[in-house]
Amino acid sequence: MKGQEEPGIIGMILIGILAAALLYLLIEFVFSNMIPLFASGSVQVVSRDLSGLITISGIAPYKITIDYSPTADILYNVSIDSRILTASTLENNPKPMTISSGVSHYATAKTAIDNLKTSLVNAKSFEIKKTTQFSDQGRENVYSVTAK
Amino acid sequence: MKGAEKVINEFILALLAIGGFVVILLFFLNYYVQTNAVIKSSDVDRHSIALGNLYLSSDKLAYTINKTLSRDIFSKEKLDKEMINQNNLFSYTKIFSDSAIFSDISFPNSIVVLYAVDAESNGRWFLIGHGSLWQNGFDYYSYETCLMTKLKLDPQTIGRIFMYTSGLSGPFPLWDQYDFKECESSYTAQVGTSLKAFPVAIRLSDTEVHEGILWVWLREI
Repeated sequence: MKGQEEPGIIGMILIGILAAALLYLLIEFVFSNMIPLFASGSVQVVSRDLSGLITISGIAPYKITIDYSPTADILYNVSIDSRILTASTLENNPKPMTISSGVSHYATAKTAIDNLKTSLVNAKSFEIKKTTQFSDQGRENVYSVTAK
Repeated sequence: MKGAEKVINEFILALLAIGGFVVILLFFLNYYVQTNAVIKSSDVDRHSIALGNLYLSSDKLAYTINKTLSRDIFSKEKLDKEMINQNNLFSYTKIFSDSAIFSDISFPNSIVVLYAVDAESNGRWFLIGHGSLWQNGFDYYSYETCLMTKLKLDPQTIGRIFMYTSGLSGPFPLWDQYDFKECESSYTAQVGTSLKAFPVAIRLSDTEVHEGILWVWLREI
């Protein structure tokens, strides 16, 4: 009887190890894909917030200035062209709790306003400005995003 | 008998172990998929809310006097000029031309329907357009052609035009959801759809201002 039981126990242990390994991989996959959606310093969140702030700056009928500093010590490269904002962080950036390992360092987001094309390197915080200029042709909205 | 019982017991135990593992697996997968879906759909919702607010501040629609723009107050004169209404319904061919409204304000790879209603006089203005479309796999020209064929003068379209001109139809007077879905059947990677309503005032003259609603329907692809 003992000889018959041993293969069953070994099988159960192997299945247990396999299940634990699969569960570990699954948890790691889920959290590495979920955390960037919430972490305040991740490029996914920064690109989403920055594009949203740029877009809603157009709501101001005359002019508005918005300061946006996502974190204290993370640097971002940001470019905006054809209403697409691309944000990236450098691999050697500090990685506080806000950025976990395995998180993507690149993300894009949409903006809805025209006449904005810019490229910022190693920016820690951002100033979004919308002003309205008047001429004989009428009103023209002018947008800018600069690093602070 | 003892051996057979043991095999059955081990089999049941193994089934329980596998079942437990599958439940845990499904829990994580469900959590992941649901959260992703919520975040993606909230993106479209946020975009449609931002769009609606931008149109409320757009000088193409809002009443302006000198350098002052009256946010939330649409000028009837501008609505008549920039959008399609009962009086210029058959100029719908300009629907897909580059509307100044959409060239100023629109998200890339998105389709927008604007529908303004004067709640007091039953005046209606309608416009459909899009931002720049360059999403891989999405053939805009086929899409446009497909939607235009839906406007052929069959009983369905005549019915829609009747509903629209008589003030009975909803925000999609010339196409319904099935038309959009049919035309997008070759492209399945849509991000989502959102419909939002915004209260507005519609200024008819110096002495007459009506209450109204602006509907913004956004489909991101």
